[in-house]
Amino acid sequence: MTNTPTPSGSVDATKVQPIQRVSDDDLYRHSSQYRMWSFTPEQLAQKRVEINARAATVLETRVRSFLEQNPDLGSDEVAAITEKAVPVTADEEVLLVNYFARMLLTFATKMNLPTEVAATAVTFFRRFYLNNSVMDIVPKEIFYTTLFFACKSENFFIGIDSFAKKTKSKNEDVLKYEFRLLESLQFTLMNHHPFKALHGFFLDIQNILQGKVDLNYMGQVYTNCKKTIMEAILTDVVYFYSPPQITLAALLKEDEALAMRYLDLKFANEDSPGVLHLETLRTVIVACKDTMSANAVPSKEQATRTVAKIHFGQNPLSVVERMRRQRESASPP
Amino acid sequence: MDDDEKKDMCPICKTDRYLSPDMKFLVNPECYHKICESCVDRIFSLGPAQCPYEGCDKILRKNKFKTQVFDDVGVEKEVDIRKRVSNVFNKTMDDFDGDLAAYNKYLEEVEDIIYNLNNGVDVAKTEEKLRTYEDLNKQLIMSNMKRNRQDLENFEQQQKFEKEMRLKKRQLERQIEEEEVANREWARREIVNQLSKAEDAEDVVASVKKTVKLKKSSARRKLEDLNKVLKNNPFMMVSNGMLKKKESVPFTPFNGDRDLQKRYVLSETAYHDPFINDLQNKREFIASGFRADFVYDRMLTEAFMGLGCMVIDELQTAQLNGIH
Repeated sequence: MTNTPTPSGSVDATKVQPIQRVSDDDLYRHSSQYRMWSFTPEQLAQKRVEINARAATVLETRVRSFLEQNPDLGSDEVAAITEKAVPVTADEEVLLVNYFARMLLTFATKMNLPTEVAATAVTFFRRFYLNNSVMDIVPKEIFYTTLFFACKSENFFIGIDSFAKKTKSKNEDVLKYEFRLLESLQFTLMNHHPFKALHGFFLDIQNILQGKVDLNYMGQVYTNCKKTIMEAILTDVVYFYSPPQITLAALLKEDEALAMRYLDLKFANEDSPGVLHLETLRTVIVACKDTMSANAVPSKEQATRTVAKIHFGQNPLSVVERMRRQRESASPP
Repeated sequence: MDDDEKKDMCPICKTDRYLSPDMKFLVNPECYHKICESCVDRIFSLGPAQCPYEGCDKILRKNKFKTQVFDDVGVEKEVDIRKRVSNVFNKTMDDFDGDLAAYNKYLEEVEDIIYNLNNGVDVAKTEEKLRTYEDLNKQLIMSNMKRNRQDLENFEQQQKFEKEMRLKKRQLERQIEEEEVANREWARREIVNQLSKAEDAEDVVASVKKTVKLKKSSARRKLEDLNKVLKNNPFMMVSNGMLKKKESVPFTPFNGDRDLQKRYVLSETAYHDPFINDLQNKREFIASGFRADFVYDRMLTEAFMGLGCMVIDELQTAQLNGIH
């Protein structure tokens, strides 16, 4: 049973392929940020609803089984549980995640961590909750883990002992969900933040508008843009637009005239193939800016309310205990 | 008696290899007992006879005796059985129209038969099975045998062709080498010769060298032709991995080269970035190869990387394409 290879097989392999050119856009399309962490608004909303629905079902079953296991509860207690121990909605989840993301940012700034680390921590935190619900793992439990992990992934390593000391947390609490985090991130740790793009544009503007713009003013714009981008990282634009687009949108928000002049000069008179269409670019950037501005800052009350809701949902018993405590304090013996 | 000695001695006539170094041992597939050639001639010349080993009652025939290939009798036996069975069960993947599962099942069956025969499990039944199959599939077996023979012939032909070509190539290469040596020698002598007549030494050397260069030998031309033939030879590429044509496009990680037209022009002077410019003046940075323009280039690349990716539109199109 010899099977000698026939000589006709690989003749066509000798054809010379034309040289392909890979543009910078194609490079970005290869990145994990584009492949796994970019969505259309519909996809994103759907993802969140699905995650929420999954966790909600788990929670409802748990509450039901709790009620079955404790048949000696009074009717008012049962009513309280069914009223209080309800799953949070997808919108509440988003608000809570954003609230904690903002806290993370403030915290990182307070710890004097580099911008990249802070931004990465926020990104990781928000991505984590695209695959997990706040009802599975409450934001508090993953809060320090993301920060610790972002330090590692951004090459700003802090040992776990000193990290725990600095954040006044316990080693094992920080490390508990580390692998879960890594898993939820699908092991993609590279982030393309708009800050680098901002630096690039800052340089290119100096070149394109040479002599037409004050350098001190540019520095000021740069600092302001950085702040705007920090805000942008807390919004959904990171899923809908590429980093340079976000940067330009931030620039547009900061100084519309400067941004427009730059874009006009940069892209208007280029007719060579593969060059961007100015009008499309402008539309995208304006849309990005609008999405950025539309983001609502969640208030503390909202967040506390949601956290309480999650707490009751996870421990229906606490509802009962609270009721009993209230009753006792209301009618002293 | 030592094992080693036993190995080199015929147990029938007690002839030792030490005394008769030409001695050959033969075995018979009936019982695989080792007997020296002269004993075989002596005992079995007059027709079938019993195995001369004590306690072996197999009747052996002279024409079935063969040289033992493997030292281990067990291996020898299995190889024989395998040969016999695969002569009958000689289907190939092509006979199954690419149905891998069916082919594997068939191979499994063949292996079962071989195992049974080798280990004496249900021998009679298995032999019967083998015979029935042979009777039923005579036509197919014959045609398969023919095909296998053809394949083998093709393979041999190809090998022969390759060998010839290689030989020719080596010959030509040697010829070229010799010619080159001769040419050098000639050039040396010619230069000396001409120098005795002419004055300008450099002129002479140049002109002689030019003549040598022009003397492109016929052998070289032939070698080129041969190489061309080798390159276009379809045999060569399949069988000989070494000569496989290399990919004409070198490896690039993104399946292509970077775009040559960048979206920015790196300016030499225009950038005013106090921080980076400061670093450029620090010795510890320069020592490790820090250069501001590298930083600028990288930042600018980063700035325009993905500027043209209309993420939402692209994802929507991808989604639509995925649905249809």
